[in-house]
Amino acid sequence: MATSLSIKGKTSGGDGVTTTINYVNPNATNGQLQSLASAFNDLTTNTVSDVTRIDKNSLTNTVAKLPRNLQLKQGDAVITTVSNATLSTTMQGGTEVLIVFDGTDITAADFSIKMTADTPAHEPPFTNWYSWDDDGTTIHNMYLARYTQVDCVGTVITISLPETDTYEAATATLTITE
Amino acid sequence: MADIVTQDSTLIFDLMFVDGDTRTQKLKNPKATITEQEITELNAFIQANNLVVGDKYGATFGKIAKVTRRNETVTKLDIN
Repeated sequence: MATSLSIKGKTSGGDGVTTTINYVNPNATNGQLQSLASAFNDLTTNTVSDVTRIDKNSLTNTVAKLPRNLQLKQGDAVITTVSNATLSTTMQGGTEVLIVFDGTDITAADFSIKMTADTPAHEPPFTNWYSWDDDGTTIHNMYLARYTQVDCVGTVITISLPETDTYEAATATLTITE
Repeated sequence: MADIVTQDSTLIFDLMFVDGDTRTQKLKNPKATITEQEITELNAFIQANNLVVGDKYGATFGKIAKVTRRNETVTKLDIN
């Protein structure tokens, strides 16, 4: 989890100003965070009207556990799982990439996933770009794409999750080799 | 109309973590005079209460490594 403080107030000239304090310990109490906000603001000429604690779930840390440039051979069945918000990849028969988010409640409206390929030749006509659970609102697993062509060697899949109000941005790279 | 001149000032903290990484924290509109003691006290407060952590696993806060004041003068030119 990534925690930050949003300190809203006014400048000495009366204009609105917002200061964001990042890298805050998510285990700190609200009282401690209020004191931290005051300590930083005491170094400024701003007055404070509001201090907001913002907690964002971190998929970045999850992705960081995933080996960079994970090499998946076409035809392999490889499962790499990272617990907590689980990010796993499964390559079955060189045709599927399954991204599983387990234990999280991510709705379709929260973010989008972008997949890129290294060359135009490897840009498949993706089917099932991603799909949701049967209830249509909660992702328990995300079926990212299915390659319809047999040869997807050389394809580099970059999964980029943009930052949302709830989640940090995250990136994972998968390379399909012979 | 005459040129419009504004002054912006930002305090830039280099936060250093025990793994050697640094992260930047910016503070707008700092006071004209900030003493070394004030920074020392802030650093001690953060350390004593473990209020800052890095964005990597195990990135314990080390210290405020550097504080820089950046002043900018922005002039909107009257081109009429």
